Amino acid sequence: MIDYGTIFLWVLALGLGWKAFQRHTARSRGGLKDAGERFLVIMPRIAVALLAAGFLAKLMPGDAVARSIGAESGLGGILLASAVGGVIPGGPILSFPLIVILYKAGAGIPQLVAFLTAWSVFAFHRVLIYEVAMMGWRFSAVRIISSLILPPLAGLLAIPLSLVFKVA
Amino acid sequence: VSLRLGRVFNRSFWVISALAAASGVACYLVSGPADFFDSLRHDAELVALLVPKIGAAMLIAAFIQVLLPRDKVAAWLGEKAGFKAIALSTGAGMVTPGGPMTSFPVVSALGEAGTGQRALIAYLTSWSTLGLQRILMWEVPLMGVEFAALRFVASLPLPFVAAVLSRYVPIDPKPPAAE
Repeated sequence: MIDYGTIFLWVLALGLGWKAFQRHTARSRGGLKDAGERFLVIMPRIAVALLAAGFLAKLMPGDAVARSIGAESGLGGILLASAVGGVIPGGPILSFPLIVILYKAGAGIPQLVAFLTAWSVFAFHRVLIYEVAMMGWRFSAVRIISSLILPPLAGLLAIPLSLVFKVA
Repeated sequence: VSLRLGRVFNRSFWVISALAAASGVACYLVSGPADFFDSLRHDAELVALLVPKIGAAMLIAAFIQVLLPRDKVAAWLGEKAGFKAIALSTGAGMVTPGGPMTSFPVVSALGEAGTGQRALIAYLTSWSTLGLQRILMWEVPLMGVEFAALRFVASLPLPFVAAVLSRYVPIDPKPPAAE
């Protein structure tokens, strides 16, 4: 299936590839091989994660989701989504299908924005494995404390924006 | 060709597969065969949509790493200061592809190049909330362009907010007389 987004990505990929091969042929060849390997590793995982997400969405009690983080849940829902999003472990392979589940089950747009922001900014496995190891716990602590307000802030900003962007 | 199958079908793959199988059985039994096949068809369509996108995203990530070696980016950002440093770090975070194994080495290289803490926090916040690769690879195909654009605009101020707030956090990032 081809859409404009895919065409854009491939034009970008081919353009960058052309430039990369012109400048650093050997390193580009290595990069190409790595990209192929990563694709083969990631694709089967995405396929099964999406399957799981689709099935779980059918099983999810929609009214419970809508009540706690639906569009009508307001600031309380935004705060709840921020808190839950911040403690969900795992990379995009699991979290994006989860977002789709919540969306289908009736979560509100500002609440989903808060959830995704919290997951992005706090993702615990990443913080523990990379940030503390490479930057030290003091840096992590400063970053996390300065970021506490970000998920609710993004959620609140999403309320007026959802009138501009036509997202149901 | 030299790919070891163990890397594809490792534990995390089997954990997700088991979850998919269990939820599939539960869906079939609880919601019925109609819902089960409906979900299956929808997911197959989604995977077909994702394959070309993810292929391109992997190539973009690989070539950006070839064209923009992280020590060069770090040296370039390290020269800037103040608001300019925060703005440029935000831009650099957006275009840094890949997961934490690509972004954190940049952060540590930036730290060594003398980039301030605020710029580093802006970079990491931008990479995690505005990272274009993740938006193009995951968010647009799964949630649609409108949602992705909305979230992107709502997140634009975040790197600046975090960078400014970090000034008021009473923790000294440098351990006293240790390193």
